[in-house]
Amino acid sequence: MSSDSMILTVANRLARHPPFDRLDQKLLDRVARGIRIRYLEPNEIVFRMGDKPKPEFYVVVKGEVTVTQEIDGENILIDVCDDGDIFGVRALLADREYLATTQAKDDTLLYVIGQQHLEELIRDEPRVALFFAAGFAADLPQPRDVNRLEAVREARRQDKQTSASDHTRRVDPVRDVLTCTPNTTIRDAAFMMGERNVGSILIVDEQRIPVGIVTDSDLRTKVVAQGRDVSGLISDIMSSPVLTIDDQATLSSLIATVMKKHLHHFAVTEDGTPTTSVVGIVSEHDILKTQGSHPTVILSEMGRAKTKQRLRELRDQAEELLQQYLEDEVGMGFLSNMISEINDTLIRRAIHLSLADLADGGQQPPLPFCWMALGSEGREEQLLRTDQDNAILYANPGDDGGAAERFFLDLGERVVEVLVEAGFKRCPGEVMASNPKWNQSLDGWKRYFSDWIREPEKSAVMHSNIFFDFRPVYGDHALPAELKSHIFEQVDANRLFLAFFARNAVQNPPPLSFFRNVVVERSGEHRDAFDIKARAMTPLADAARVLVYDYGINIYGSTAERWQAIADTNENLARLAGEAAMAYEILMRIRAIEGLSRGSSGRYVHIKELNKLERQTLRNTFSVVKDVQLMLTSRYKIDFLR
Amino acid sequence: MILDFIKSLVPARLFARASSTWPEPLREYMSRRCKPDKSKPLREVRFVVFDTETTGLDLSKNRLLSIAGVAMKGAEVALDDTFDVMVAQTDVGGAEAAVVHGLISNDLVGGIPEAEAVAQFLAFAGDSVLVAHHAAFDLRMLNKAIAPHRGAKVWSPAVDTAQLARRVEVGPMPTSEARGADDRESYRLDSLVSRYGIEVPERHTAAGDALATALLFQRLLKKAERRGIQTLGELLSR
Repeated sequence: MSSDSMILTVANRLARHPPFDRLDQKLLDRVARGIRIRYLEPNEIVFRMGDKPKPEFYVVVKGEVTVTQEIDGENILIDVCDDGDIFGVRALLADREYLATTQAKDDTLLYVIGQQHLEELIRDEPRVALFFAAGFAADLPQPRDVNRLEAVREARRQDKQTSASDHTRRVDPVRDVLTCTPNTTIRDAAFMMGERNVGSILIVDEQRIPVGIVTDSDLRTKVVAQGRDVSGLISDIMSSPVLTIDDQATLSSLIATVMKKHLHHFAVTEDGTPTTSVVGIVSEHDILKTQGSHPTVILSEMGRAKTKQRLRELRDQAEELLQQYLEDEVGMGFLSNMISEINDTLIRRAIHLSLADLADGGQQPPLPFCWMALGSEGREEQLLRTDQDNAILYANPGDDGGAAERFFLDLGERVVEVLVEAGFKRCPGEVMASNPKWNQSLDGWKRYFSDWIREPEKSAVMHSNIFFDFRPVYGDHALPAELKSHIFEQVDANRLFLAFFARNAVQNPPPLSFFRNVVVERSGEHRDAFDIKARAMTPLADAARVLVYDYGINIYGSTAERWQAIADTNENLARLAGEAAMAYEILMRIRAIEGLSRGSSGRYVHIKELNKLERQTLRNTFSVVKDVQLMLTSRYKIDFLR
Repeated sequence: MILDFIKSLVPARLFARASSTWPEPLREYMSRRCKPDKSKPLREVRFVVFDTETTGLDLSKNRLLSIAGVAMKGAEVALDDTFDVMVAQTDVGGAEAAVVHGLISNDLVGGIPEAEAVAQFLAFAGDSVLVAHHAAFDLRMLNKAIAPHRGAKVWSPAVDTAQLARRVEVGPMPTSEARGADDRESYRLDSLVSRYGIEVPERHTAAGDALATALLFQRLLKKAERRGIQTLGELLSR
């Protein structure tokens, strides 16, 4: 018979630190059951650089462990792990030698966790998989890459299935709640629980205001295990205060609270505060029961909106929802898909309303056309409302080009105006469908792309690349498809263009590393913030763009999806591309969280506000960026162009 | 005479030992009886660090309430190798305990008779070295519990962490006269645990104290090794 209370002690200790703070109780319990506790005296070594990896990894629960590398006979301190830090994972996942020596600095206690538990965590807990595996992406051997990406896809699927509705869904509390007064004896309370066959009892005062709660696990750990006298008062063993909510609390906020506070019961009071009387109780079990289907309320409302004002209201609601999800740590893939879906629906509705206005004035589209999203919107990577980047593509007019030009420009102006009303700022560079330059027939667009591709020097590739991310949002999809095959033909005939495109992607190398709270540049310079967009995300996005056009991969997708398609297309690039897909998702999340917490674009990440593992994760994406850049340099012989 | 006659009617080995009436776990434990391998390096020894919770300190009256143990091997405390059992003592703790036992479903309590609990614990320990704080007391409790099973007794080698702490801190055993009340105080589990900065939240339950003792023993073993104590024989010798 194993000792549940010992396991619980260790599990609670472990749950103080990421990623274990995210685990559900069952999985945490399983991990805790396999832990071995190791004590290290000062200077004792855990493993040495060059050693074969042991089938285990380590969590520091007390003391400090130094991480050093021996380079040219000199020991260089590269990190210090303290309370809650994890080490030994990289070599384990990569199945290669340790890259550094770890040594206790003073009296140190480690939780040693076996390899099988790491694999189990990655397999069973997609969020942990993303957190863990991605952080060490650069070192993962091929066969496991597949599992890892699979885990991430699974995380997306799960998020898609479960999270969409939680914002609006409410949990039905149990109204017939078992209560007693603080001066009830433990014996009587236990008797009541037994008779009603319930797992908890709320302790309330004369006004039925909640003062505490006792669950059957309290009876187990505080009464039975300690041999406590059951004629004692229930108030001696109750947990207090009780978390109170009103009966309008949404599922997503409750889930977040359960996860953050490890609380399993909520008292439902009249107004949700602890000062009014109890009307019900909600347990974690009830919450889990309620989680399920997903009415995408905002989307369907948006599809029915009659006015610009209504569109704006709905977009504001979507933004609140996004904030909530970011705080609740919903998967990034799900979030960007959700926001793209909402933006697309909004744009379609804006076009629909504008067309209706024009129809009222007796005007119908003279030709098939397509509304295209460009740049990050085209890549479905927009999270917060940013500037508009859009264009109109219409079929080649016959004789009367003027009429088509006028109609579509009118449409473009109207839609851009609606979008401005809905909170999307105008593009400062005027790359919008309201600009006659970007409101063109198919032949007009073909000419633009031909020029860019044939004479990349002149067109300043930098400025044309948002067009290469075009994606049809509304209208005739045959037009953009034809444009795309034209582009593929042109690229194929002018391969030097790819080199110019690729050069763009290697202009900004990532930093070398972080040390303490600063970014260490390759030049040796230090900074406390770094431009995550220019230094890590743009290079990966640029590289993916070059490769999809090089291989003729015909998808309209996000950078991560492009990398995945590249991995599927080319065996030699499969591993690196898989890592790049993963790294890009990580970067998007870090940027979104930074943006949310600072109310900014999230472009500049402040190192000292990241926790150790986030830092490690971010740092590990650098090596992926670097490898991608090296690959581009040799593949397109960029050095010769310089 | 009569006895001899009866003996002749049944197979001799049943009478050879009282073991036929022992519970299975106890039989298993007794069957593994052996002399400790004194040359075994400490790193290879499986220790079972345990604690018993009792109704009081009076050996003649008190009863076992629970036993918890955790294995230690290669200087690591292994949570995948633990033992914890509640003892059903209907005649102690007054009617209250019975009331609680009766009301909370059985799987919550899972108390089993004293002798059975100890037998299970001993089977868990097997041929490992037992470790406890003030081990003599716990060992007496175990022996008392299995006393009804004639012929069975705790044969495992045992280490007392209170003595070991004194030995590695003070050096060669001081004479008993030299130890005063202060000394006894400073080698209580509470004192040692705080002296070594060991955190165990659930103290004063069998499981909590067993874990605390294990974490203490882990440190004492390191100290002992540095004092040249490398083998089981050296650890057990006084």
